[in-house]
Amino acid sequence: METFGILIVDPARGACCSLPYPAAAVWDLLSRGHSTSKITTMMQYIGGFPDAGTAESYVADCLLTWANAGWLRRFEEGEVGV
Amino acid sequence: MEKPPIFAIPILDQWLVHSPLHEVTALVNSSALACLRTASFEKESTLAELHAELSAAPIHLPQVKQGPFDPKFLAIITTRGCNINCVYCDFGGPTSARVHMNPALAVEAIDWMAQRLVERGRTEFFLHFFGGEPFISGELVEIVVHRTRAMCARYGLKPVIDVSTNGVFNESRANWVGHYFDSVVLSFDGPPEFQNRNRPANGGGSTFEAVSRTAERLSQTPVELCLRVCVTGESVQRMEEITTWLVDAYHPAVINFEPLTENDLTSCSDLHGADPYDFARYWMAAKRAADRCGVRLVYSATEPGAPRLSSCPVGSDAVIISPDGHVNGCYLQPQDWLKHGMNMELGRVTLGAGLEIDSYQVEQVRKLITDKPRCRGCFCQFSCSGGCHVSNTYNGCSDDYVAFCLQTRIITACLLLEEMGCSQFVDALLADQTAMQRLATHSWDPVDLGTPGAAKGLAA
Repeated sequence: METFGILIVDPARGACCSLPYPAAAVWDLLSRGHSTSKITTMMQYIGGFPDAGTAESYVADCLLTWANAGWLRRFEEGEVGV
Repeated sequence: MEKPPIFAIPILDQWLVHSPLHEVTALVNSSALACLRTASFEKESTLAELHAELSAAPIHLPQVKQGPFDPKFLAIITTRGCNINCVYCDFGGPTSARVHMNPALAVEAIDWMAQRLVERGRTEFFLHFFGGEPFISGELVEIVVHRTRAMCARYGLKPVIDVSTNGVFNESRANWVGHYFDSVVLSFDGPPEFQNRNRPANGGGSTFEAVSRTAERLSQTPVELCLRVCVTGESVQRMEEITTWLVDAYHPAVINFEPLTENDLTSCSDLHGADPYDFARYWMAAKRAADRCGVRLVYSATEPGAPRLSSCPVGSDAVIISPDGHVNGCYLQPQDWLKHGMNMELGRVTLGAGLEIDSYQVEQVRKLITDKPRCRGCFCQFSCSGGCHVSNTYNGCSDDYVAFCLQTRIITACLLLEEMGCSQFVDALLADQTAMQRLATHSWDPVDLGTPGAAKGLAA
């Protein structure tokens, strides 16, 4: 956690990525196990989004971007992990 | 202020001459004090030098705030409700409904505050959480922290976030707090026999294990951990032992011992305040134990720093938002002010309109911190500043010193002596009950200094 965002680090890949606000908040909420719908509701306030739909799109974009960059991966059914 | 006051406080057979506004303190005997008062000393003597320093223009001149409302500090009371049942709670925690602030109101307040700070060229955004227990509104706290950080990032402000909490929450929460907050004031009354007696769970169970786990977890994170201990008549003699134990077990940066304030609730629980002389004596022992470990031990009425007219946010244009959106200048509940004829309400947060501040009320609250009859003769008037303006030095309170004053006077004098390297006088004072009482009950500390040339005679 940094003053103006979050620095995420993947030692296995030797990769790091600096997340500014409001994306930093999405990462924090996600990493602590909040559901996507809860994150969307909270991000409406945190990001000052005008409506739920805009917040939902923003959260979905974050997740897609991070998944494409290898920061997130969807667990298969029955798979155990963090 | 007409003339900066100079105080003389009896310390055994000596006098502590103290001018907080000049940052001058000296220990002198009775003859020397008489010489200062009559300006009877030789030129270029030590007394002449001291007299000159005390007669110079003051370094500090604490004044009531003036001009437009100028907040530096935002406090959010997320809820008045609480998840434990402290027997001395003055903030309504055990009985208040778990009503949480609407997140939209909190966001309005944060955005308004960030804009005010930027307009005034400030570089830091001070945010404090208070309750009840703030973390029973866990999601709201997360929203507020992230919204504040987001606004700080937008405007280039440094967020400084702290919280007062009972610590009864899980490890995941503790870990998050340890990384997203700058400091945590964790109320923890010590070993189980005190913690569970004073701060039981709802239903009367133990809170010790949960709070101990939280303290341990927080001590492993970057946050500054302050352990706040409420000292009662039962625990006062164990302050030094509690200090050593807290330091060893939880590695806090700060330990804060505050005396129990007796109220109707404490009477029902047969819980009593500490004797003020015992509190002062054992607080000093605890302070020395903490100093040896490199831990700061504090008592809010004697906090070091520039002379002040208030030892709390009242009068400083702090913005304290209650769960229903009222903007107040004090953490206490309205019924506490109203019973003493005070009104601490500064305005309201309204959805879509930000904060509406009543400038007349701002002036009224600013003035509340001045003109305290009880404090006029006391050398602590620029440090303790009368303590709580609502429950201690409210308009119409007795002019006589109360237990709070007695312990504050002794501790303040001891700290001044230690700062001067006169620890032997502290030891002697604390071992002499009569000398402590003389110091504590000395009703008029201000002295007038004579004008050089008006009298002739004695050498220093």
